[in-house]
Amino acid sequence: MEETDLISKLPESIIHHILSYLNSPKDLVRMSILSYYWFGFTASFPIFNFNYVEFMQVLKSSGTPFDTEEHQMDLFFLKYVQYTISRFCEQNVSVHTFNIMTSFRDLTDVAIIDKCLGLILENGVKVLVIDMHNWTYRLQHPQMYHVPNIFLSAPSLASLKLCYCEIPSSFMVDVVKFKSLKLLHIECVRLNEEVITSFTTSCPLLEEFIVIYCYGLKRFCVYEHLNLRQVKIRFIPEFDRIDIDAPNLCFLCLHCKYDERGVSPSMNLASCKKLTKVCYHGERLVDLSHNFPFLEDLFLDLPKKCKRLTLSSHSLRTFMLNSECDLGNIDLNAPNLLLFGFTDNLHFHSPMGSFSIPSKPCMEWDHNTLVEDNWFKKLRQFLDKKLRFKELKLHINVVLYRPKLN
Amino acid sequence: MSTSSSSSKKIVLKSADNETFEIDEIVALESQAIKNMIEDECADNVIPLGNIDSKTLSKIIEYCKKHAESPKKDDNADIDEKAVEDLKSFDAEFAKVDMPLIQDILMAANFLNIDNLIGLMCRTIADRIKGKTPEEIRKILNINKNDLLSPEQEAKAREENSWAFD
Repeated sequence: MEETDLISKLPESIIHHILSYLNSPKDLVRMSILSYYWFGFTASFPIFNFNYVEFMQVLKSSGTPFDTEEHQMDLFFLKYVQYTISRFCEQNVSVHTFNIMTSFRDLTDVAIIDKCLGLILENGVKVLVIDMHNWTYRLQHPQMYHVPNIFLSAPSLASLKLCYCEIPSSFMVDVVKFKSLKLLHIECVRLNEEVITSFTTSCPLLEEFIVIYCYGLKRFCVYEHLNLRQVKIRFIPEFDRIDIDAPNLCFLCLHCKYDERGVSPSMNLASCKKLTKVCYHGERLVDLSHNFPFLEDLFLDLPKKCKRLTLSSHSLRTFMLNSECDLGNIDLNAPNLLLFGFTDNLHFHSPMGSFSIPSKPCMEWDHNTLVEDNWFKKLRQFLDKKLRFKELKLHINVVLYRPKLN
Repeated sequence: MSTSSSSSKKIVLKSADNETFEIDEIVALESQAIKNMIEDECADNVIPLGNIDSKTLSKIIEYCKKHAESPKKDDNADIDEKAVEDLKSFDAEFAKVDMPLIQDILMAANFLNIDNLIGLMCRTIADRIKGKTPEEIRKILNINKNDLLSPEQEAKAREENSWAFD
């Protein structure tokens, strides 16, 4: 009788394919002790996803008693991370992706995470995600995770995402080089103007920069960056200025929904000659034609009722508007406009891809809330203005209106 | 979509044990490798497959026939849900084979480059392993006793990850 391992003879790509269906850490650890072959093979898979929440779900669904102490569970998770990483580092392979989403309880936990990060950074990781979401309900005194200093030398990194961390204070003093970094995503990290400048000067190849709710940040300034193509910022109330000088910037997405002061940040983007696509979500309108002279595609999300919306642009081709603004109060002067989409659908999200542009000027009105009885008159008036739409697509929510009789 | 029109071209596949299988060209096209050969006009009427035995090859042809006959997803937007269900149950039935044959099919499907079939077989193996103990998995995969980790190594790994072996 033949005594051979049935699948270890298959090509590696096929075995990885099989393992990709085994997404439970429990199954993967069990596979690792089957034989010498499997010990090495399971150790050499270069993509790591360590997600604490998913790990807990696996443990609970597979019968680990619920009364197991939470700290014991944390320890299982960190041991699993450590086991996987230390075995991996014995193999002669470099890490592709390391994605850790967890929290920590004490310094011992931090030391384990630091050690693993150190190992994979030395090993040339390309995609790194550190998400140390603070589950404050678990901790009396929530602490931020301090990204270790070793992270300052990561020449192999192509993509970096940091959430709920603290960036080392030496960051601005030391010479930092992320010479391969193309995507940088920073979320809920204390930042200031200097850190942004430090990042952009140390990442010459950066193409996409995402900054989400970073407290402390008042200004976002980028000077003479040749590769930057996309910038997305969700800013906090005290944010007051955007200043970007990047000749290849083509897409900018801004969210400023929680601005209570009623003041919008000032912008200086006029040198970005390729900036044709803009998404803007906010309470108030900024001066679009002045700030974005090369605008072609605009997605505007103004959830609150605005009194009047005036927009004038010669370059604008598509304009998607999500607002409760009255059609009668919209004044558009855009002679080259090919598509005007207007909706009050709150669940409408900004399209990241390109809009499909019709050949003839077209207006699409998707009206979800109840229309007033003079809606048709308003539409006629709007269409009679300068814009010459050849096509009209209407989606109107009409409910019979019964006047109250007193 | 009909595959049995009289005008359809035939292709002959020859297995390692010299058995020949005449099939419609459209069935053979399920294999990306054969498709490339036909497109590059380097396929004779008979395509020899020296590393696939007749038992495996007839299984693979059975799969390709069924998949070539059923409407493709991109044919039109509202594909027949019944056809999708039908194909699903065919796949489930098809996968009920023993491990050595699965291995042979995988090797052959990899050589012939039939993506769907590779996916189906990989998923089948994973489903058989999921939630099993290491002892059970060793039996399923027919792992040789001489290849095991040393008892000390195995004990250490089990201890480090005790949560995974309850």
